[in-house]
Parts: sequence; structure tokens; C-alpha cells
Amino acid sequence: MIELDNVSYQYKGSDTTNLNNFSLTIQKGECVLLCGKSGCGKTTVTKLVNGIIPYLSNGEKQGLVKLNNQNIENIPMYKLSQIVGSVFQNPKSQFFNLDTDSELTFALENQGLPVDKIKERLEEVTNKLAIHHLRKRNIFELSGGEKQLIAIASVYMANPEIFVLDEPTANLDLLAIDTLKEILLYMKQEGKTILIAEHRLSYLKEIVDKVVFMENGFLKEIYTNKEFYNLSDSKRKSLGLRRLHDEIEEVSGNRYTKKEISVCLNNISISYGKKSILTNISLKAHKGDIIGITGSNGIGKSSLCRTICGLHSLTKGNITYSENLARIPIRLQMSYLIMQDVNHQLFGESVEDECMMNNDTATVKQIEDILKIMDLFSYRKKHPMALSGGQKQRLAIAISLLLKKDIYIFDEPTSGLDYVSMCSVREQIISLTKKGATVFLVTHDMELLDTLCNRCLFLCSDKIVEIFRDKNNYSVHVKRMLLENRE
Amino acid sequence: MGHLTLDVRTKLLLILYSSIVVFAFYSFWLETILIILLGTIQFLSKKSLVSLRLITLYVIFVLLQIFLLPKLTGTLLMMTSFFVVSFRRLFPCFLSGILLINTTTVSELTSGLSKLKIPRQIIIPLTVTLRYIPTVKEEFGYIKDAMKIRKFKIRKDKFFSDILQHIECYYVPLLVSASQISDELSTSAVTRGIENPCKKTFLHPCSFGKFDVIIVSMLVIVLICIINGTF
Repeated sequence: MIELDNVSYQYKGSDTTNLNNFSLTIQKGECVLLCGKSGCGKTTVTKLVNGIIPYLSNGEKQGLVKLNNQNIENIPMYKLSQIVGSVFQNPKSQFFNLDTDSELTFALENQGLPVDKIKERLEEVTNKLAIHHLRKRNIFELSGGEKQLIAIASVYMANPEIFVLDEPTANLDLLAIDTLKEILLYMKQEGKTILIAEHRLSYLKEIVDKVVFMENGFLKEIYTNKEFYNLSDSKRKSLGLRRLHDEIEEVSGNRYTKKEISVCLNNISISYGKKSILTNISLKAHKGDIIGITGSNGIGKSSLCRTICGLHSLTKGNITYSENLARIPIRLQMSYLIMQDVNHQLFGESVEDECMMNNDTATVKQIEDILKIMDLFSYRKKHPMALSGGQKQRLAIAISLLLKKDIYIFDEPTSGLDYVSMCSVREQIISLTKKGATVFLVTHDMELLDTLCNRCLFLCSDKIVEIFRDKNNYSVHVKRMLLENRE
Repeated sequence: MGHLTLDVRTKLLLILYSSIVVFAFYSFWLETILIILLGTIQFLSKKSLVSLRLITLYVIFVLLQIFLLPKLTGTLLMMTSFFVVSFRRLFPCFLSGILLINTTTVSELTSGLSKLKIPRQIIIPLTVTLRYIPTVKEEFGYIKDAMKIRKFKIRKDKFFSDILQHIECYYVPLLVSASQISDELSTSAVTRGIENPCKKTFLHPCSFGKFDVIIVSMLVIVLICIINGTF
């Protein structure tokens, strides 16, 4: 069905070839997983199959990509789009429409199908994928998981033979991943061919037939499902891969830190306009704590974070820092939020300039030292936007260190990161707490939660529940609670 | 009774109409009539709250013009009157623009424009623009938060350089995200066959309803009055 024959590709402006002599054949009805570190060439392969390369990307391509024995370059894009359906990583920007119904029917409207045919298919897909609750909604009101579900459903509407998915779970919570898994299984039963590039591997165990491991643009190894999911834990770590199974991670016990209280929420309530988000939430955090905050999508995790760091006001209750009442200016002074999209918080013209901005106390020496610790010193003259994702994140942390903050809030710091990058984020956070900082971590990344946090809180709209590890790790409890709290 | 819904072509006509009136045939009564008309439409459409706030703002500006401006002199008068008067005069355009942005879906706009026989090369960028406006709003919020955390402030003694810094701080991240999002949007559109040369179907084709007829005829009456020199 899909045949890649000795394909190499180099993006415009790239110093090295991004894909080297890559050959792979995918049979009809097969599900193939592409894995490897960030930048290993997974996404490039998906783009070659759905035609984005060479159609929207003008780099240098060698070799042939064939679809049903036809050179893909000879198929017009709109025809190819009827055979290959694509789902992308970022649920925010893969919608062309602003309401779900138009999005679902978009591909079929483009094909010029009669109205009653489209309506019929719309009802069919709504029933098959059980998305009644998502019909006729505004895209901006949906949670990340719901958006991704609509993205998949709208691709499924056109009934393509091949599905290409590029890191579809990067922004999803556990339950949304479960839903995605069910849909993929269902598509496989229907005989669809699936090509999926992914960092999170455990949920695909029952779906994939073949696993392609890539490194630096080379195909390194092709595993069968059995071979791959039986790899030892040390082997998969040496390959730089995320965990293969959810359950077997060492439980390291509930580590408690020094008993010096840093942040206290006393019966706080939060609302946006007239809409109440959270009521009567109380919480005590100690210096050195790394507190994971989870909960259903859209429950108010980010509102809570924005409130803790002084970006949002309280309607009831109060917040204390080190047992002193902390109103908004103090909270803004003491705490720091590392946003999910770090691009929003870098403003400078160079890395150095970024560090000096709005900071009158930091000396040149201090800046140099911190840039060295963060492994950014050799990039100090570069523009922040020219850095890689991980470097941008480290720069944001470097700035906060220079501003001498005590309380850190990380919003999804590892979404879409590979194992090695996740470990480096983990190291950064641990080193912050060693300096006495308190860290709050909002995340759907259960691997990070299990291996980093010493406390885990599950947020509901009217209470906050502390989860303790027993023989099971946090993720097991979180999953149970998510299911219990599903409306 | 449901909310008032208008054909996208009527909304486009309202924008065109108010721009022409504001720039070419300005008079106080005309402005008032337009604002009452547009305000009522917004009030009956689902985004009523927004327009109520805007109308209050308008009233404040009118009051400012009546009571404050006569008391000012010199440069201060120049600066304030520029803001107050130009904002007030452009108000009908704002109202009709907001109406289009807040109540039109991308597919309605596409269907309306293709009924007007506008070529696809113009329709696609226009719809992308409409699609992008709410995204900018969202991005703006994030950047504002980020600036608060970094304590960007406007100080009195460095007013102008701080304002410039502020503008730059919004501009750079917005530009970066815009280029990224536009790439991703076009990828998603292309992989779903937007370029298919066949005739598109529209599940909800736009059509003129009784409200459209009422509003268009009101606009015609006003136009006749303008030509007759009533205003």
C-alpha cells in the first residue's frame, strides 16, 4: 500500500540531511509505529506519506514514495487528501473552522458531495465515535482531548484508507488517550492502514503490528509488536524511549520534605465573571515540595495556577506565602509561571538581553553563571526565538532564577517531549527544589508525575484530594479518580 | 423565538455601508440612526452583552465630547479630541465589524462569498483571516500574563520608551505564533482537500431571510434620505 524506497530528505535551511536512505513498506491494514528521540525524522516520514513534503515544504528530496504503486508526487494534493487522512500534534491549529459541525463536514464539502450524503455520514460518524456531546460546539470551548477527538472524527468523516497521525496524544489526558486507543482499534478492525509517530508508547501496545525505531534520520531497527513491548526497561531507556508499560514503574514511596510551610491556600474560591470555577479549596505546600496537580480537562487547573501566581484574583479566602498574607503584587513578585508555550514569555533580542530585561539587580557575572549552569552560555548572542524548544524552556527558568523567585508553576512542561528531554526537565525541577523552591506541576504526563512528584493532588471543582502512593503509583489512582469524576 | 441571524452578505453590506457613510456623508443624525440600527441588531443577536458594553463606552465618549472637550485647550485638546472624536466617528464601523466577526462561521463566509462570485484566491485568505482573529485574542491573553509575571510596567519618567517596549513585546511573540499557526492552518486545509477544483457543497448555504429583507430595505430608505438631502 505505502512504499518508501531509499528516501532522503533535507529541509531548506537545515545543515544536515533530516532523513537518510529510508526504506519501508506498509501493507494494507497494517499499523506501524514510528518512534525515536525528537528530531529523529519521525515527522518527516509522516509528511512524506501525507504529501506535505514536497507540496508545502521545499527541501531536497531523493528517492521515491509510492502509494498503491503510484508515485505520490504525481497525485494532486486534493486527490491524495481523499486517500490519506492526517491528524496533527497541535489540536489548537488544525481546525480550519470555528465550530465543530463545519469542521466535521469540511472535507466532504470540499469534495462537493450532495448535502443529504454529508448529513447521513455525519450522523453515522457521530454514532460510531460517540461524539454527540461535541456537536454544534465552539472550537475554543473544547478541551485539548475533545479537540483532538474532533480532529480525528473530521478526518474519519471522509473515510480515507490510510490514517497518518503525528504525536496525537501530546496534549491529552489519560481518559482521552483511552478514547483515542478505542478509535484506533476500531479503525484497524475496519481494515484501515495506520501510520503513527509517537513518544507515548504504552497505549499502542494492542494496536501496532510493527515498530520502526529511528535515530538521527536513520532507520535503526524494525521490531514486531512482541519484540518491542518485551524490551527490558534499561534497553528502552538506552534507546531514549518513553515507558512501554504504565504499570511497572518503581514506587518510590511518599517522600516528605522539610516541614517549612511555603504556600497556603485557605478556603479559596475562584470565578471568571459570574461563572464560578473553584470553591473552597485549601492546600498546604512546603519548601522543596514538587506537587503534581491533575484532574479532568477543563476543571480549573490553570485557573488555580494563575491565581497562585497572582494573575487572577480570589473571590473568597486568602493565600499566604511563608505564613504572611500574599496579595496579588506579592504573589506576582514571588512566583513564576512557566507556560506550556514558552514562546509567549520570551521578549528579548538575544539570550543575554532577555536575562537583563526588567532586572536591575542581576550583575553580568550572575547572568553568565546562570547561563553556564543552564547550558545556554554558547547561545548568549542568539535570538531567543531561534533556540530549540528545550533551550527556550531552560532560558525561561534561567530568567526566573535571576529574578530570585520562590514558587514555580510549570504548566505541562513535557507535552510532546521524548525521554531524554523529559529527564532533563526533571533534573531542572529537582535542582530548583534543592534551592528551597516550591514547585507546582500541572501535567497529564503520568510518567513525569510518577517519577518526579513527591505529592500528587487531584483537583475537583469543590475540593482538592491528595493522592498517596501505596503499592500502586500515582497514575493508577489518577486514572481511577478520573473515571469516578466523569460526568 | 430564537436569536436574530443574518445572512453573511447582509453583514458585509452593513460594513460597507457604514464605512461609506462615516467617511463620505457624515452627519450627526445619520450616525445616531446607524448606531441605533446596529445596536439593535447586536442586541437581538446572541452576543448582546458585548454590544451593551460598547454602547456604554460610546455614551461615555459622547459625554466626554460634550462636557470635557470645551473646557480643554492647546495640545491637550488636540490629543484628547483626536482620540475621542475619531473613536466616536468610527464607532458604526466597529459595530458592524464586531457583528461579522462574532456571529459568522468560516463556512458561512465561504458560502456567502462564493455566492457573490468572488474568486477562490480571495475567499481563502479572507476566511483564514476570520479564522485567525479569535486565535490572536487567545494569544494576546497569554502574552499579557507573561508580561505581568516579568513585571513589564509603564513608568511615568520613561513613558514613551516603555510604551514602545510594550508594543514590541506583544508584537514579537504574536508574529512568531502567527507564522507558526498560519503554517499549521494551511497544512490542515490542504490535507483536507480545500483545493479541490470541483463545485463545493454547503451544508448550511446562506440564504436571505425576512430579517435580511427588513434591514436591507431600511438601509435603502436611509440611502434615499441621504440623496434627498434630508440629513
